[in-house]
This record gives sequence, structure tokens and C-alpha cells, in this order.
Amino acid sequence: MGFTLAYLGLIVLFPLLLVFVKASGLGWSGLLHAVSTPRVLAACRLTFGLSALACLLNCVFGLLIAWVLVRYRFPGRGFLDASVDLPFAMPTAVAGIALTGIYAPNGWIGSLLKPYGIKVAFAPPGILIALVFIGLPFVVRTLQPVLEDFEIAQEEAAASLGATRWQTFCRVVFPQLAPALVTGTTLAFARAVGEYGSVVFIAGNMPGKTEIVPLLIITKLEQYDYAGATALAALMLLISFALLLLINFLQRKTLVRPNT
Amino acid sequence: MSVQTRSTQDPLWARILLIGGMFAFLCLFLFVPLASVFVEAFRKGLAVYAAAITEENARSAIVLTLTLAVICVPLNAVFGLAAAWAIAKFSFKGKSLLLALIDLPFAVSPVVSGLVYVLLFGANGVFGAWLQAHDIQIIFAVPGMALATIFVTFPFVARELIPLMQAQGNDQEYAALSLGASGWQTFLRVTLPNIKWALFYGIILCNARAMGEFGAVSVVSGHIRGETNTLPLHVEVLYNEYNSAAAFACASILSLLGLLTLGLKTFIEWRAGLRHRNP
Amino acid sequence: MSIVVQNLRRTFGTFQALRGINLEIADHQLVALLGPSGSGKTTLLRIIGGLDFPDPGQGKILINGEDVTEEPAADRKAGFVFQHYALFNHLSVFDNVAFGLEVRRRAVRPGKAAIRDRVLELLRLVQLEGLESRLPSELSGGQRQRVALARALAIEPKVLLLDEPFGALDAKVRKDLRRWLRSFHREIGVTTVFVTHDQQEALELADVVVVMNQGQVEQVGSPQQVYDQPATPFLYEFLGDVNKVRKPGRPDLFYVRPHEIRILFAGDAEAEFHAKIEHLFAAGPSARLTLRFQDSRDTLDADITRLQLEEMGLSEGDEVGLKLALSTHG
Repeated sequence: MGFTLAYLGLIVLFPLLLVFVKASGLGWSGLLHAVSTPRVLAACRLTFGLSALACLLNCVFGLLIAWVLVRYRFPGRGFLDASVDLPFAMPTAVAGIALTGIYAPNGWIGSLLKPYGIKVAFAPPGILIALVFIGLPFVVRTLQPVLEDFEIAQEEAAASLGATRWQTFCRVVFPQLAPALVTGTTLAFARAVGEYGSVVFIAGNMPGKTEIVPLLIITKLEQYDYAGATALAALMLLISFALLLLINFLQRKTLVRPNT
Repeated sequence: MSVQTRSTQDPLWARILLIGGMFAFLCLFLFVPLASVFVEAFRKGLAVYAAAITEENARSAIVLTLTLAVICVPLNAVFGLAAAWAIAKFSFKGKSLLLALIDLPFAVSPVVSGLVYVLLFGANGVFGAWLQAHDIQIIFAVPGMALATIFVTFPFVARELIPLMQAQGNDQEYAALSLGASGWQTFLRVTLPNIKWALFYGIILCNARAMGEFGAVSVVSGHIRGETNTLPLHVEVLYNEYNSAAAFACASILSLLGLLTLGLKTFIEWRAGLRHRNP
Repeated sequence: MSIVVQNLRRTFGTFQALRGINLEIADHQLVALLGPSGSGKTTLLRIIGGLDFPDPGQGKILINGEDVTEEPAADRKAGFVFQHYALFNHLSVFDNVAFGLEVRRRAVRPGKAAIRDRVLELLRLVQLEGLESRLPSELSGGQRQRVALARALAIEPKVLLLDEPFGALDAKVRKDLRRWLRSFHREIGVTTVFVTHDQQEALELADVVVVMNQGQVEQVGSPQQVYDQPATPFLYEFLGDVNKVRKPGRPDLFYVRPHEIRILFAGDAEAEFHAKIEHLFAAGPSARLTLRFQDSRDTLDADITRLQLEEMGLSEGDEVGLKLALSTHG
């Protein structure tokens, strides 16, 4: 027990607190100034905006994938089920260069879109694709156990009362999946805002346009702007903490779901 | 598993549409990128591929990656065991805080994780002056990278074990103790066998992340070729030099690691009858 | 509404759940489908309700004369109450009961006020008024059961189908609800079929008992008929306690119920057999004697009234005479 606490304290808590301590060294006005430069604001808008959009997409497709994997039987189902974890098992840098390769103007898909003037790599759409990629397993894996345990008798009851399949889905199944869906989406969001490896290759990293917050932190470090980097890191940490609390709260709420 | 009868089956057209949609999505987002890694790796032929992965810097990168894994995974495995043991078998105040702390690295950006160690051990860091005085190099060197890797991977084993050990309860351990076994014997003969699959599973995930980590080690590494580049960092270096064939060649090794991880994960789930896990 | 089942067959893989069922249920009846696990009674109920279907071309279901075999549950208007209630956990009691009315096509959907009236009336009927805004998790088992009933009745079903309605409840609650269901059925009059493996429940509640075993109907009749005149050895053993007795000197087996054994004093001339009381259990409404025959080593359970026990002054170890009203089944 003591070992656990010492390990945790040393490796986790202390270093993280340090960030806040250092950041507070700047003073409130210094901090505010550091995080409100146009460049930082643009990076924040980009990171949070695209992460939100990405996890919305993951919400929809994650639900679809979880539903198909749990409810339907078809050849290759087991294989596809295992492959959902690919973004999780793959090193982020590999995902980064692979996606860049495909969506670059001379890549497999990028070249198909070029005649239409659609730029994916080195532009926000590319970032979006990378964020969707890494967030996918979170929604699917959070939903699957809930779907598997779902009391099928409730669907039969709805059918016996005259509901169509669509009505049954909307009124009976979906509302009871919602908490798990929100949890999974929040997990995907938390991962997306902090993601570096998968995104940094495809992003293009132009300040003000395609620069994500994690990259900005690194850039500031390389320029010895420790104050700026720390301030931004503290902001990210605060958001991480908030998300973590939210996720824990949601998970507890999902676990104590009333069940017959 | 739920038994489907005709009254709860979705109409055929819906099924076809949804399955098709899923295939399209997974192909686009998963399989095409994965395939492209191997296609690009071998684009210039087998000779170039072999040269890329046996080149000196690549080899040191591989060695460094393995070294980090060998350091971090066992440490985190022991920690995970200790933490899970403490949480499952004892009750104490602050348990939920401990649990939240364990989840922390999942929510924190890897870049921030790395930054933290730069702040601590960097030249201008908290211990910077002390370290310089004693000529100890932590960041921009292997120790720093090890620390950063430990930080980002430590939840894996703990997270796999905690719910399992909580669900299993203490009964078997009490029975063993009442029959005269020592604490250590109880742990080895009763506790460990019950959790062996979850432990193995957590170690695999921990290892995959340790070997594949990019953001955190990027910050603390200093990118010194041949010395402080792990394989993922080496891939980045090659890619930024437009040496894409070599970059993808090294990336293909990492991809194989990822696929191996998936394979082992599936094997364990099948063996242990585990259900789907949260990432 | 009457229910007619013709030549119904249902196979799951290699397992034949129903092997050609023929059944007729008259309007307004309260019918029990009784049988051990695996007898096919739940399968039959589900097929009547449209939640399952017979093997292709293997049987028909007629409700009120109409062939509904291919109709899905949603069109069949058969109210179904599930063993574990299957209430919609995220909806209040009110919304649960109103569900069947809310999902109707716009053309046939009642107005909001009409729905409200109907739901409240139903809740009053099942004695749950005042609980409209509760969630299922806030209700007891018996209350949830009644919500499930009200919900099924809201759609004005042609028939009401109950799958082990009291299986998940405590003994006392079960008894109360049984009594309540009987009077409830008399009040609403809808043809009701319920499945149970509890023969006591079936015999107490039903107008007609259908005993099933291994996918077939063994006997159909009133509770009295089925108990007193069981058609097969299976029925004899399944419905109520039974002793299997070998008459000394004869190889065949006879069935006799514990209460059909007359206990006489050992010296009584009318006694056909003699036995010793091995065990006496009198902590209940009647006394149960475990008797061992003198001539063979067979044992027998006999029930006598507490009164008779006292009058005869019997205790363990005593020897008694027996007169058996043996049935001719063996």
C-alpha cells in the first residue's frame, strides 16, 4: 500500500502539481496573457473544435459499429470486432504517417479528391480524420457491453405493444444506451484534444491555421518560452482533470443503472 | 447473448445498409491506412526495405525501444499489482481519489506528460541545477525517456486488475489464510492464478503503448540520432527527411507489433472468456 | 376471443420444442399451460403472442377465427406479460403503461387527454394509483408485475398472455397476487393464458389446465379433472404428491396419493397392510407419516388430519394398519 502511494506520488502527482506551481509563478495576468495570444487562441479553437466534431462522428459511427457487431451475424464478424482496437494498438506515429500518405495530394485517396479542389492532408479535414481514427475504439468498446447485456425482453415487449423496430430503437433502446454513449464520446474527446502523434504529420502545422495545441506547446518549449508552454500545459491539464471527473461521474452513473 | 427472434430483428434492408456502412467506415479509416504502411514500405523493393531496418540508427532505435519496454513494463506491472491489491483487498479513505489518479495519464496529453519531466529535470527545471552539478543527465537521455514512458503506461495493468480483483473479493484469500498459508504463499498460489489472464492482458497493452509512445518521449528525448531516438521517433526523423520508404519500413515493424498485440489480445479474450474491454 | 392452435410444430436446431400441438381455448377463459421445464409451454405462449413463429408450414394459430400465424407481434394485439416484467427502466410507470398507445400511428392514436385518462384508469384497476411518476427501480416486484399487466391491457388486447407471472416473487406475494389475478380476470373478462411450472398455482387459478410434457399436450381439463383423473403416469406424478407402491406378491406398481391412505389401528380387521411409523411430521396443517411396510422394505408417505392424529394417539415407532384406495395405474 505504501509502495503504491509512493510510486504514484513520485511518478504522477508531484510532476503534475509542479506544472501548476510553475504556471502560477507567472501570476494571473501573465497566465491569461500567455493563453490569449491570437496564435494560442487559434490553436485552441482548432483543437477543441475539431475534437468535438470528431467525437460526434465517432458517436454516430461508433453506435452503428457497436450495433452491427453485437446484433448481426455475418462472415468476418470476429475479425472486424478485433480490428476495432487497431487505433488503440497501433503506435500513433505509424497512424500519423499512414494517414498522411493516403490523404496527401499524391496519395491514394488524396489524388482522387484533388481534381475537386478538396484538400485533406495539411488542412483541417486531415486533422479531423486522424482524430476520428484514434477515437473510434472508445465509443465502440464502451457501448458493446451495454448492448450485449441489454434486456431483449424489453424490445419484445415494445413489439407486442405495437411498436415498429424504429420506434423500439428510438424510444426503448437508445435512451438506455445514452449514458454509455456519452461516456464513450467523452473518453474519445479527452483523447482527441491531447493527441499528438497521429495528428502532427497530417496537420501541416501552420500557425493560426492547422496548428494543434500539443504541437504549440512543443514549439514553445523548443523556443525556450517555458512560461508560455507551461501556461498552455496547465490549461490542458485543467481540462484533462475536468474531463476525468466527468468521465468518472458518468461511469458511476452507468454502473448504478436501475435494472429489473 | 441475447436470442434474436423475428420480432426483434431489424428489417433486411436496414441490416444490409448498416453492415455495408460499417464495412465502408472501417475500410476507410482502418484497413486502407494499415495496408498503405506495408505497401509504401515495400514500394522500392525488398533490398531497400532490408537496408532501412538494419541501418545503424534504425538498429539503435530498435534497441532503445526494447530497452524502454524492458524497464517500464515490469515496473508498471508490479505497481499495477500492488495498486490493485491495495484497492481490492483493503478499505481506506481516499480510495476513489487513488482510482482517479490512476486514470490520470489517460486523460492527459502525452505532450504535457513529457513537458512535466522537462520542467522537473531540464536545465531550467526544479532539479536542473542540482543535476548539472552532479553531471547527471535525465532529460534528453534515456532516464528521462524511461520516466516519461512509465508515466503514460502505468495505468494499463492496474486498470485491468482492479475491477477483476474487486469482483473476485477476498473469500479465497481468507480461506487460504485460515488454512495456514502465509501472506506470500496466498498471493502466489491463490491470488495470482485467478488474475493471470488479466495480468497478461494488461502487460501486453502496457508494452504496446510503451513501445509505440511518441508524444511524451518526443518532448524529453532531444531527438539525438543513434542515442535518444526510439523507433517511433526514428520514423518521424526519416519521414521529415522525405525518406518515406525507410520511414514506412520502420513503421511496418511497429505495425507488426500492433498487429501482434491485437492477436495476443484476441487470444487472451478467447482463452479467458473475457468480454470486450474498455480501451 | 377464442384461440385455436392447429398442428403446431417448432424446432430449434435439432431440438423439437413443440411436436404438433392442437388446442382450443374458448373466449373469456383463464387457462394455465402447466408443465416441467422444457415442455414447450413458454414456446407455445410466445408463438400465440407473435414473438415467435412455427416452423414454416407447420401449424396455424387462429384468434377469434382469424388466421394470425404470419402476423408479427406488433399487429397481433396480444398483450404479453414477461417473466421478469421487461418494464422500460428509463420510463415512469405512467409512460410504461401509455407506451402502447403512444406508438400508434397518428391516425389511430388517442389524444393526450384520452391517453392520460386510460392510463390512470388502468393504474386504478391494478391498484397502483398515485405511483404514476415512479420509475420501475423504485417499485417492489409485485408492483412491477402489476405495471406490466396494466401496460399490456392498455392496448385493449384480444388475448392476454402471461409468462410465469409470479415466478420471481416471494411466496406470500405470490399467494396474494394469485388471489388478486383470479378476481381481476373475472372483472375484465379477457381470454387469458398463463404459463407456470407450479402445479399448485395452475390448479388454484385456472378454469382449464393444459398439461404439457416434452412438446406435447398430455391432458386438458378442469383442475379437478386433471388432478383426480390423471390420464397418464406422468400426470399422476407431476400433479401432486404420489406414492409408488408394490403390492406384496405382485410385481406391478401402483400409485396412491398420501391423502388417499386410511390409517387404522394395527389390529383392525379392515387393514390390508401393516406398517411402522418411521417418521412423523406434524408442524403444519396436516400430519405426514412416513411408513415402512412390514412385508417389504418399501416406504410410503401418508397424510392424515391433526385431529385424527390426536384421536388415535399415534407417535413414531407405532405400528398401524393401512387401507389403500389404489388407483389402477401402474
